[in-house]
This record gives sequence, C-alpha cells and structure tokens, in this order.
Amino acid sequence: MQDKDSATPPLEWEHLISGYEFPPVSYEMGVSTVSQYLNAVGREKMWGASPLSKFAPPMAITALAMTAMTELFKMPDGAVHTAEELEFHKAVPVGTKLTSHAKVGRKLDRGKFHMAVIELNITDEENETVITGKASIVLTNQKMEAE
Amino acid sequence: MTRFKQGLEPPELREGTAIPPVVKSINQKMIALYAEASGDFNPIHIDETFAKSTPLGGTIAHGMLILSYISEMMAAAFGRAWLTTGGLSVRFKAPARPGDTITTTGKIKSIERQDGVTHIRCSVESCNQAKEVVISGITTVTTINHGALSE
Repeated sequence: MQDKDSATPPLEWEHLISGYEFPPVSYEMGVSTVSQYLNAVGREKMWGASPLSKFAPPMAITALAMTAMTELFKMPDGAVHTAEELEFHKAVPVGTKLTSHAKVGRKLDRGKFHMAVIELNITDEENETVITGKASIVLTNQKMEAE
Repeated sequence: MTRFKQGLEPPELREGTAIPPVVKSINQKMIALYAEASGDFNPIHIDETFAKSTPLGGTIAHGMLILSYISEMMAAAFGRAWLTTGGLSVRFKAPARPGDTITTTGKIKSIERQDGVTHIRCSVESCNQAKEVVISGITTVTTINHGALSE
C-alpha cells in the first residue's frame, strides 16, 4: 500500500507531539481498491452505474489515507473518532496514485483524557491537493462513549 | 433513494429543501467488510470479546463507514460538484451497532449566489432506528451556472 520504510517501527501514542509530521505515504486508488470499498459500503452497483463511476469516492480516499497513517503510528486499541472535517478539492480518477501528508495538529494528554487532532493533506501525482481534513481522536483508557 | 443521474435541479434548490435520504441496515458482516476495505482493524469494531469488555458493551461500526452515507447522500444530490467542492464538518455523537438501521438525512440551510457561483450549506444527520443521533454536522458544496447540479 505504501512507500514507507518498512524497517521503521510504528510510533506509539506517547511519542506523538503537536506539530509532528508523519512521513508521506503513497497509495493507489486502483480499480480493485475502489471496488472493495464500494462493496463494503453497499454502493458498488449504484456508484458503478452513476456518472461518477470513473472517480474514486472521496470517503474511500480519506479512509485509506487514515489507514496509511496508522501504519506509521500504532493507534491504541479502543481509540475512537469523535469528529471529522473534510474538504474535497478535486475529483480523483480511479487508478490515481495519491500521497497522504499527515501531521499532528494538536495533542492533549490530561489525566485519563487523551486526544489528538490529525491533519491530512492528500495530493495527486501532479502534487495538487485533492482532499484536506482534520480527524479528532480520543483515548479514554477504554472508557469510550462513542465513535 | 439515491439519484446519481439527476441530482437536485434548480427548482428544488432552495432553503429548506430536504435532500433525498440514505437508509442502511448495519450488520457485523458489513463492519468486517469495511475493516478489510479500509484496513481499520481496531478491535472495537471486529472483536466481540474485546468490545464487550469496554463500556460500549459490544462492537460498533466504524465512524467513517457511517460518515460515508452522508457523502453518498451528498454525491447523489450534487453529483460531481460534491467531489470537487464538497466540505463537511461533523461530530460522532453515538455509536452505530450491528442491527441498527441508520437513516441519513439532510436539508439545505442556506444558499448564496454570487457571480455565477452558488454556495450551498446543508445540515446533515445520521440517526438510528430509535432516532438517536449518531452523526450530526454540516456540509457545504459550491456549484456554478446558477446551481445546475446534476452531472
């Protein structure tokens, strides 16, 4: 999925600091990747029959960028996603190779409350931004309320 | 139902217009498929034993899976404009669980037209069968040519 150095062990939560920039990770929105995603979200037939079918769904692009990031960073079990902000800038044709640039926008550890905001900037092969976003993640030592 | 080919046309494009909803029933198999597709194998989603040991009491769907229904609704209504100018800001309010039926709805809250460009702001929400809000927030989309939104 990615070009990262496989010898690099994933970071732990405590290693993250505000401003930390993850190494960029590349991945491809290939036909099989998009098809698998659409099948998982129950949209394979609908999207395939739509005028949008030559493009990758933006939420698939975002989900894979998040996953690419978590291959560099060991997300603690039970971490929950509490908020998401996204902006879509450019339609991404199926088959496009993308690069995800992720950064810790904010991190707070106070008592049992642990949260981080991860900022994403996803670019295409022309180095143009296709999606930007922020994901808020909370750890509460498994005292979770919602995702 | 979703309407990829049509989208919302200008006569429907006014404040207060409801966006055609998306309704999905969630089951553990779908959650497992999403874990495979996204690569997110957090045990809170797929490991019943682990999930039962948490205050959530059982597995929950990925927040990004439920959020995808909001994007599906917006793409159906606004076509390619959603892919090129869409924006969203949401909060995950409650977990979606296997067995839930999630209804995702939206309504146009404001429309601003300026210099041939139309900025649309919508309120969106995903609720379970008990009307409990799972996700809520806002979406935005910008179109040109007097709001001609279809593909």
